[in-house]
Amino acid sequence: MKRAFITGITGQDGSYLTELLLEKGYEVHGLVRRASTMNRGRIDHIPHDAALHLHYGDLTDGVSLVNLIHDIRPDEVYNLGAQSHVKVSFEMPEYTASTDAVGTLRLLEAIRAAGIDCRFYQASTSEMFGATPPPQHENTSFYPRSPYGAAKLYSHWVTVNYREAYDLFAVSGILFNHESPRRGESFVTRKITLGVAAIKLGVTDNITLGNLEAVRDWGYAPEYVEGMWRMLQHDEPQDYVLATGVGYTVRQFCEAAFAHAGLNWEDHVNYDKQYERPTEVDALIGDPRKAREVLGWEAHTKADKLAQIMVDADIDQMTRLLKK
Amino acid sequence: MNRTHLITGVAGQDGVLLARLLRSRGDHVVGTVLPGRGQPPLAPYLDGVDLVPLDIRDRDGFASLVERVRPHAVHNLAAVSSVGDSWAEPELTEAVNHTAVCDMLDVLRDVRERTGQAPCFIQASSAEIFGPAESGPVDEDTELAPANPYGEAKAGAHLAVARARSEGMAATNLVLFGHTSPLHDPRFVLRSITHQAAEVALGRRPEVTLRDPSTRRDWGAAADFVRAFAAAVDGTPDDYVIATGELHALTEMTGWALAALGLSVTPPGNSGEPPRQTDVSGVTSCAVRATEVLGWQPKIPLAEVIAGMARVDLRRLESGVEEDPSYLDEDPG
Repeated sequence: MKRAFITGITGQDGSYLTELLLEKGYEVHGLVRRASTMNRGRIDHIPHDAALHLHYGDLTDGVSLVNLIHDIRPDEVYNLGAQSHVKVSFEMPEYTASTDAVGTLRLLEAIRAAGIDCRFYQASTSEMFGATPPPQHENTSFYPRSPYGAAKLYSHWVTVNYREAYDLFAVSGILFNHESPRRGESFVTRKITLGVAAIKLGVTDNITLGNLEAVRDWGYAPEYVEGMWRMLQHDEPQDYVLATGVGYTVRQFCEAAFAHAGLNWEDHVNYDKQYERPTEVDALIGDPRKAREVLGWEAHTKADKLAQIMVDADIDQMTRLLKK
Repeated sequence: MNRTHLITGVAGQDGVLLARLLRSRGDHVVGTVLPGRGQPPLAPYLDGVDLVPLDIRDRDGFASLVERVRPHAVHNLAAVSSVGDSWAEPELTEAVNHTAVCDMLDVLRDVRERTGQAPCFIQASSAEIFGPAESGPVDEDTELAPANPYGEAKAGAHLAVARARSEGMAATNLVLFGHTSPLHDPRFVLRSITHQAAEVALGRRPEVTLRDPSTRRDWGAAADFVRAFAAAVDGTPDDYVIATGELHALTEMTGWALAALGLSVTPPGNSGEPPRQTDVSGVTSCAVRATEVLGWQPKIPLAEVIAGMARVDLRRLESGVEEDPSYLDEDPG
């Protein structure tokens, strides 16, 4: 039985990856922060008798990582834990760097110290491209625009560096936006689909959004964690972009989400400049050819289908909450 | 215990009374006020409270404030607070009363991811989420059927709080029925009654006149209601209706106000204004869950609150001083 160790296990990607690996027969170990109550969050629905083990620890605490890696002796490590809010990274740059940059180094060092044969996945992000014009691929030059992007870029390079210097099977997956019903509520896609559900169920009549013209490459998170896994199953450690390759505006996502519920978005969407982000990256569109050619990975769910999945899930959940 | 509470909309009636209650228990209170408006009218009652200008629609501003203050609890009282205003400004109502709540909860989720712990979140939900229920008392399981933009936005926020709680967050809805005090916004009907009664006492008007004197509502003492927020901080996160279970007609309240000022009690006249659309009248609730779980119960008879309000409104008219901390001595509780 293969053993995997996942940081950021309670996040959107961590929860889908956990489900995928359990399904594939892995024993899954996850890192969670110490709290007064064990916060299982998005993995709360996973049965307690599953091959899932949670460990207290923190990417900012190197000793705990060394001990955990030494005890668990994982075959695969997925580093998904991060302070992932761009705006927060401006307010807490040191914390962001300690978690998102040095945290990766601590984890790599823990693997090296344990002297185990282990494959390492680093969750890199399209935010590392920042101001570089689209489409972006594995050889596009980076230009991060935030402490978050810069910290992630350090992690990307230190992953590449450990691969080259220590012959570690380490890969960096550069993922474009990927969403799901588990997306946080302040992300624009989720804000839209929750709004559609509330309007459809007669609870509210409209939603408020900022810039409708921002272009994003939105894929479906469960497919992206499958891509992460495939990267670690390949013979050669390499870096990959995962994306749909299609740019979609917020407006188009709105159209699709409302239409799926039989509503016309223009009747329900308000504009508020409060929600405009002046520092926002204009357009991120990935070029996923390498992942398709080498891994046979493809984003099957495009933004319009994604909107439908999210709307259905939010209508379901809200219906349950309304009945409870 | 010296805990820190963050109260959004601290300069409203409930914000002031809650802040004073928490201060009296030795806790530290940070409160947000609308930026760019100068000193809020109720500022004289907020001695010892840290006032921070913040529009709650500013997600990042809220995130930095939480980061800086690290509150034990967030009490969300900021809102477009009148049904009437919500018809005039439905979009603003939606943004402040609903979207901003989703964003605040998301900020707290983020804090929890990062630190393992988030402050508890107490949302001022509203009886308006039930709409004009036909008959019988409502409770926490009554279907949401809001009938105006205010109620719709509050219902959306109510569900956002429920979602957060289903994810293990300490998030509570207090579904507040009507409640009042001498600090009530003068545009609302009860303050209008006590203000008019004070004018009658000074001979400035012959009688109290109202839009619809027969309106019956479940009203309570704001001083009682803010105790529910304090109790919810340490109680099991859930939805709790906060109400008195007693309906009183505006006619009756007018009588209390006049009697408190030593005037003869005459029924209010009809102002001739058209009744409001979808006014929620006659909806009541017994707050059983709040009593059982939070140990909360209304203590102050509404008649005493109205009497105190009438006396304060008379003092206001006589002195010309709109707000003064001593006015709260007239508020029982």
